[in-house]
Amino acid sequence: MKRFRPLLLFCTGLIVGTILMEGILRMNEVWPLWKVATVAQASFYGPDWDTGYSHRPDRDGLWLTENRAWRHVNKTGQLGPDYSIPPMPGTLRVAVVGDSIVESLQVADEDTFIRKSEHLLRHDKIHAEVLNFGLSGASAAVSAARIDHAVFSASPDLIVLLLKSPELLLARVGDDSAFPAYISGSSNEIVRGTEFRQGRGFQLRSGILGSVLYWLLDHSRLANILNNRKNVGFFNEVSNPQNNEVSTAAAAPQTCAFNHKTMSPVQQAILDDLSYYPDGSQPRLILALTGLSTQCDSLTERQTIIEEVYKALSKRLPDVSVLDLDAVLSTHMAGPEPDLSVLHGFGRNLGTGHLNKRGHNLYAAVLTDAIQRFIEQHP
Amino acid sequence: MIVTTLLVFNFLFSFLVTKSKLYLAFIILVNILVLFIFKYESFFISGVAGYDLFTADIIIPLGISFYVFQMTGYQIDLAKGRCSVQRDPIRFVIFVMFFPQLIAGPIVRAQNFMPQIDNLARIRKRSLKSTMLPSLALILLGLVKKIYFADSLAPHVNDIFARGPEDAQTAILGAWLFAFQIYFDFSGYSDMAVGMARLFGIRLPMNFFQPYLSRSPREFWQRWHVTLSQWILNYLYLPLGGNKGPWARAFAVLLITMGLAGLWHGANWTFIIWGLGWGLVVFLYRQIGQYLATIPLAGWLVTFSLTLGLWVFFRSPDLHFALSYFQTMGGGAPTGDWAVSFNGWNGIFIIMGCLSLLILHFAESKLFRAPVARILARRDGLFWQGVVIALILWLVLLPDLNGNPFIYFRF
Repeated sequence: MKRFRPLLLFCTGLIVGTILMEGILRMNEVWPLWKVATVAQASFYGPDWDTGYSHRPDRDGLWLTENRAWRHVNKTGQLGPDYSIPPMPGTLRVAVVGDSIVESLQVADEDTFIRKSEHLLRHDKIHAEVLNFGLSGASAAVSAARIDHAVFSASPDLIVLLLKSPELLLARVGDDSAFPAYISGSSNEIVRGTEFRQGRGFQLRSGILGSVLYWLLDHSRLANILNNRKNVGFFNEVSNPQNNEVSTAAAAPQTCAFNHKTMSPVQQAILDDLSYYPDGSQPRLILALTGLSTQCDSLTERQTIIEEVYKALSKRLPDVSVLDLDAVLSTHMAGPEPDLSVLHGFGRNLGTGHLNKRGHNLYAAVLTDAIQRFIEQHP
Repeated sequence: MIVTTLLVFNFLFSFLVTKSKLYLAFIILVNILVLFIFKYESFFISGVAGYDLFTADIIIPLGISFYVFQMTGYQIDLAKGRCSVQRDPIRFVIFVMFFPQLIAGPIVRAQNFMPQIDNLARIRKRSLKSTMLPSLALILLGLVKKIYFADSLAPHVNDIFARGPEDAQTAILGAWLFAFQIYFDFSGYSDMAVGMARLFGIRLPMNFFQPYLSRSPREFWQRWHVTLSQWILNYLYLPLGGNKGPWARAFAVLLITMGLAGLWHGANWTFIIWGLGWGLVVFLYRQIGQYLATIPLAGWLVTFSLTLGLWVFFRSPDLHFALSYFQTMGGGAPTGDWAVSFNGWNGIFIIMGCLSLLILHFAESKLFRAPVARILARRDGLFWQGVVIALILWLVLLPDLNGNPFIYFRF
């Protein structure tokens, strides 16, 4: 025993040091220290049978990328407060679906355009409940899968889907090894593929080992540090959706064409998917196409596309509206050629990244306006 | 390639510099020429204002300013007979390339460092025993300064200097935070270098002694980047004549020395003005310092305020920005659109945070006292070594250092 005493002493020291570090990191999370001090970024994502990945329910923590914000994932796995199922009578429940722009992890819940539009609607005597169904890196297929499962369960009165325009205009067959994607089926029909479920990473993360890992991530700041330090392999919870997003955007050529009569099979599959819930009922939908200003040179071309998409969707859905989000945002901004990039980015990174305070304010105004118009047109 | 060539040249010339001043002049010229080509070429040839070293992607050999100065100092000391020539090329390489201090100092003098290299083989494990914990504690202190403090301040400083302050309080906050960011960043590196060297049984000089507690500009330079200050004093300021002669001459020498010290940091007018500004401040303080000394805290307050002001030049991307920044600091037109809200609790917390940085600075001065050293030496055992090593390892894992490299790696 005496021989092992030095080793035992040293290992005890290492353990005490580790516990001390864990304590320091937790102490730094005290308000307002977390705004500047060294803290661990929380792990919000986990495997999901329907969408490949999603937020793990009932999680709290700090998001540090781009800006710092304390965020909470509710019991049903959405960012924001809990909500009742079914909705309270007399409440207009709106589900906003989209990627990280909707997810808005970079700011506190009360600063997101989701919560701000809820306040604006209530201010206008509409008792609304706006739910955040944003998910970082969500493609059209992921959003459709999310609508079929998570959104459908929340029984919303209205869905607002923010979709990147190249997703619909290019509408290419994708890769479903990490999360759902539109692929060619066995008889060449377009289906929403779920090959990711067979992936080793997904199965590991969904198994006992995954449960242990996520338990550690939920209970130790140091585990989060390790996870963020080496976000590859088994630890790769989200399959780097942001990277996928970037590569999609980088690879996407400029395209400014859509015809409801000559739609490609993938385009038809996307619109069919958005038009029906799993039980065959139909949602009321506002489709907001983003990034059209980078796809088309003229406003006339953009208007034509919006009309064509509307024609295609209105054949499938009785209550639908289609927006060119960039155009609507521009009308809310001052100047003849408003610069939308000022709505994105924080601090020195103004112009790139996610919505900043100004962006959230403007998005909230636009969303509120769109919801109010939709209610007037489709009572 | 550059480093090897420099090492070979300097090693060979170290045998010749004692024989003729021509050899000394030649090797100094070679060293300065290499530094000039790799660091200042664009500045002098194109006449541009220079790089913004805080944002530009610069490519210069890592640590070149430090080892070129160290080798030049060695050649001068050899020529003056202050040290003896190192005949062993491996020991010479260790002197120049000793990894803990290679990139950002401390700059060491041959007469202090060479004997320690000669003694390395004779160091026994037992003699290192009571220095393990103090050495590890120094590394830990350096990491805490860099990762916990400097890297936490960096995003806020970068936002203010990238977007430009909109109001006076944001501008003052930017200068204040940068002053502490650069201190924690650079002194953190130096502490780690000293700590790591001590693990090998080598004692490097401390480079920082809580500079923001200085009561005069002269004292500031005795506490800030001490080894560079001494290098400049010994190899530039004193050979140029120092404080001797009429006041105009002394002033000119001071300006030249400090201007060159500023230029050493990088090819940008902002660094030169920063250096010249320090020259002016030191000179003026010589004239009025005695009066300020009679008023309690006045010396400290004036020195600290001037230091903050001069850091604005140092951190600004160009002179135009720096001047506009000063205008904003004084309540004039905004430099940019970045405003930090001082409303309500936010303002109270910001002020408390800024003051606590100063208090920490004061508290740090208490760390380097004999009782602390005695406690560390007494507790030097496997348990406490384990605790400190665990903290060091976790701190290393904390940041993404690519986002916040050491500031002085750029120089």
